[in-house]
Amino acid sequence: MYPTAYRRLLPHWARRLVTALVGVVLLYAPFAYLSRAVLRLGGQEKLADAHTLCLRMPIQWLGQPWMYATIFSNPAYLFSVAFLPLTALVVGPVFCGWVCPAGHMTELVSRIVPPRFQLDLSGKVNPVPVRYGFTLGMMGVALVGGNACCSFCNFTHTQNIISAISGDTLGISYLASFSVVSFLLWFVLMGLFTRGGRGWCNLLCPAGALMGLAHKAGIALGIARHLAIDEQACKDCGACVTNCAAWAITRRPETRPVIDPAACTICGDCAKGCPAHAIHYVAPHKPVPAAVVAPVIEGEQP
Amino acid sequence: MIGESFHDRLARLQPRIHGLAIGATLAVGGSLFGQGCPLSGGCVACGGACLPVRLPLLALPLVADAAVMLTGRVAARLADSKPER
Repeated sequence: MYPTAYRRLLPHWARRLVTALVGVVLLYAPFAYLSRAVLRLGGQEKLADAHTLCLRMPIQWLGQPWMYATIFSNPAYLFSVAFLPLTALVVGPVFCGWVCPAGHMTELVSRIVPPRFQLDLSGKVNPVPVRYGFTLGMMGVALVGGNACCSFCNFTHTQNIISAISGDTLGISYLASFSVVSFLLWFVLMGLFTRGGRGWCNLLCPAGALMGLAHKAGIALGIARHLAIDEQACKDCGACVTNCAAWAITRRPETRPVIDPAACTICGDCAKGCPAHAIHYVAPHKPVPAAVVAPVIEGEQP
Repeated sequence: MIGESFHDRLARLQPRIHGLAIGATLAVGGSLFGQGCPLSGGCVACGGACLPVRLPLLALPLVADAAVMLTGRVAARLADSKPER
């Protein structure tokens, strides 16, 4: 019974696929046009690839105050610690839901596996504390000279595998590292065999954690566009919970489903798949139903 | 939330603290392997010189999680054993 509204969602998925392909063109070699533009902005003349706009390393550096000068010295480093969170503050983590090539890849391949073979964690696991814990652990381990962000990088797997196949030395060394394990976890366990295909994003993406935090802050400050549930229109059918790849929607016996802004990626699958058309991407000045801004994570399971 | 006792608050926060501890342990544990090692050769490259620092760090989130859980249980037991007025 997944997805519950396949016909409604297909055109929406097609639109998201197009924007994800734009993401590939912007960030992945051989195109990497956004990365090239940022390099040019910083006055650097080197080849751009998926590593250029690293989404993890600058976040890891946030735990190391002596690295702040490095972060601010290069526009490429500001992409994940400033540009994306500021965007999320105003319009939500649209990068995750519409542009990120890594997230879309696993989400796309997860659709080819029959749901009965997949882990269904939507509405059952609260991913937000794990993601925050991972981000804090990543910053903490950097303080003692370690590096967790490269071990868990899902953004460069595709590029590394293609490099290895083409005989590149760095790519071959990648195949002999822990990254292979993280690739299997990202692509197979948390991608192919997890419903929604975004297990890695939901649990282990520090960029997503930062954007989720910014989105939550934006809602609290009243400046963020966000997905909101119209409680009057909602029939409490649970289709949104099933369709949410970010595990951001939970049902409780006493209320309508609630959206956790810290986990939501603004992909809009919940809104497009809602048979009652009860979910909308609302402007910040519009009154928000109480259930939407209430924190989902209170320790109880729905 | 108003009038909530200390152990109720801890019990409510416990799932979040579990999640934080799991995430932090994954990050620290992953840093011990392959590309995560700054020497790029995994644990053996430095002969395990980093372990005295990183193993305690690996245990830190789990110990913190267990400490919060135990504190909550002790607080709950104390509250239960308090005579009614």
